[in-house]
Amino acid sequence: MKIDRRTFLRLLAQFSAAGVLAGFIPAYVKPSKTIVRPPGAVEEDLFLARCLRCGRCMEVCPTGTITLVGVDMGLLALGTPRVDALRGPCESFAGRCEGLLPCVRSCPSGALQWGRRIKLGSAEIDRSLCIAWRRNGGCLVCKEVCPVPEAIQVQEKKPHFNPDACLGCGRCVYACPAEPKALKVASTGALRTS
Amino acid sequence: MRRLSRRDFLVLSGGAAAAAAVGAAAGLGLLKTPAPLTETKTMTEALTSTLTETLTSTASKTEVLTSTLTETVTSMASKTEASSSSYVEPGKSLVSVVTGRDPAELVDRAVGMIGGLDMMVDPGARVVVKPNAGFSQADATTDPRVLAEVVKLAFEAGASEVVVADSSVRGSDTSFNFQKTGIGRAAEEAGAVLRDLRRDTASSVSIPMGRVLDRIDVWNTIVEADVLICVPKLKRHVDAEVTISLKNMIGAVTDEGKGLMHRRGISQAIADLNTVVKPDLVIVDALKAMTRGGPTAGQMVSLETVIASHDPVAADLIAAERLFKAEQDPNPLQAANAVPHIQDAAALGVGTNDPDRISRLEAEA
Repeated sequence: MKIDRRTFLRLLAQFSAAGVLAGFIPAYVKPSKTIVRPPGAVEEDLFLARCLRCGRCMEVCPTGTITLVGVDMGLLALGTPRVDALRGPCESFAGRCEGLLPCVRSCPSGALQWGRRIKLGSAEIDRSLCIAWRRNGGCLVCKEVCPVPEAIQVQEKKPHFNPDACLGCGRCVYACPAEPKALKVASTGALRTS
Repeated sequence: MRRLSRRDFLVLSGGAAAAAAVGAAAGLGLLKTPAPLTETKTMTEALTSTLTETLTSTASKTEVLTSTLTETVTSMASKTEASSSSYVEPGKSLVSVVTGRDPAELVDRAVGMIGGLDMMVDPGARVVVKPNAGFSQADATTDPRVLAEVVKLAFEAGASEVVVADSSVRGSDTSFNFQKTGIGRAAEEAGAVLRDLRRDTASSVSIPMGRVLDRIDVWNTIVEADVLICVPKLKRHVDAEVTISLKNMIGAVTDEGKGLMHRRGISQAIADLNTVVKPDLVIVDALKAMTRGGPTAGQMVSLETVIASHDPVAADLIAAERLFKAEQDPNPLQAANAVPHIQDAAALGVGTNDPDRISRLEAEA
């Protein structure tokens, strides 16, 4: 996705609004620690220092999963990229971007780097919203799309998530047919490059 | 000096603050000014589109009515034709089960034994072949050799265009799957047009007999097909028990439709869908079947079989029986008949799951 006029203006407005607000509420400046970053992101503090907020990783992402952080996650994180599984899956492994990582290649500042292993975070389930848990079966779309065999184990037609095996690609979140979605990707256990 | 510089500082900071305020105001202003314009534009657009929609929906309703009528007439005609055909035993669905080494020959024999494609494909017809390309693992998808042979047979029967089309499970890119599994290359080499249905447009199709669905959005390539051939892979499915032809048709609907089907109850929704998006012919790829652990990482068993039928329920029943037999199920036919969506589809008259009403033709190629 290109940074179009609208996105640019929204960001500009957010930056100026945030600038005004920051003077009054210091806590507001602190970036959220739980942002899910694109593959190959360096340690969070270094990431915030290196990221130029140029949005190139977002522009080259073929699935559109990379979006820019708004004012709601702390002023210092404003304009940095985050992975939003509701917009699409991250195909950095077992998908279109495997071995290519256009987001990492596009990064001009080294905020995103090639790493040995990718783990963006891990998927979390809210069983009260899950179709299979509510009806004792009838849906295992998450299992169907999951590229990691051990990440979702099925017992009695219900999915059990294994956060250690999950790599946080968000395919399950994007595919989940429940309304509202029973799944989300949290930054828990994310591997950062150094 | 000191006083001056301090004063300078204050003046400067005051100026900067004012500039920031003006900047922010300007930023907001910029956002605001074009808004009314866009709003008016979108309103006009919305109005126009509503009008068009109303028009199209009226048109499509008439079309649906006509097509239902035509369908009824054709199905009546085909029934009369069928009963006079030497390939059909009256009141029975034919299912051919052919075992052997060469995939192309298996397809040829299996299709030939139930009457071939010549009777189904009019000269110049548009044939749509729906494989299972829902995944990027070749074990989980239709064998490219089977698919290529189906395309070849369709052309030989007189088709002017053969389209190989699928939309995989949401979150899995169909074009990537086509390429990764070899389906794409095989289809194109056989002369077919490859279509990732996610790039297609869709129409809302009404399901008069539906129990949980009253209408669903179906990709236009499928809606507009003259002949629809479903070429599924024989697999176990961790939730639906099996995924063969009936479940394969879920790729005919949009992502929103797929979500809706899961929310409404997948087994009945599959049956409902198959009353309107019903393949004219089913050819099951059971060269290698995926047993326990499917649909993505199950154990593979070599069956070297192709199963064909014009009755999707009968085809799924016989194919499922083979699958359960391969799993050493003591009563495979009973297990096959216990699959919820096979039962639901039979109850809606999509086909028969009564073994006494199925005529099984077995052969070795």
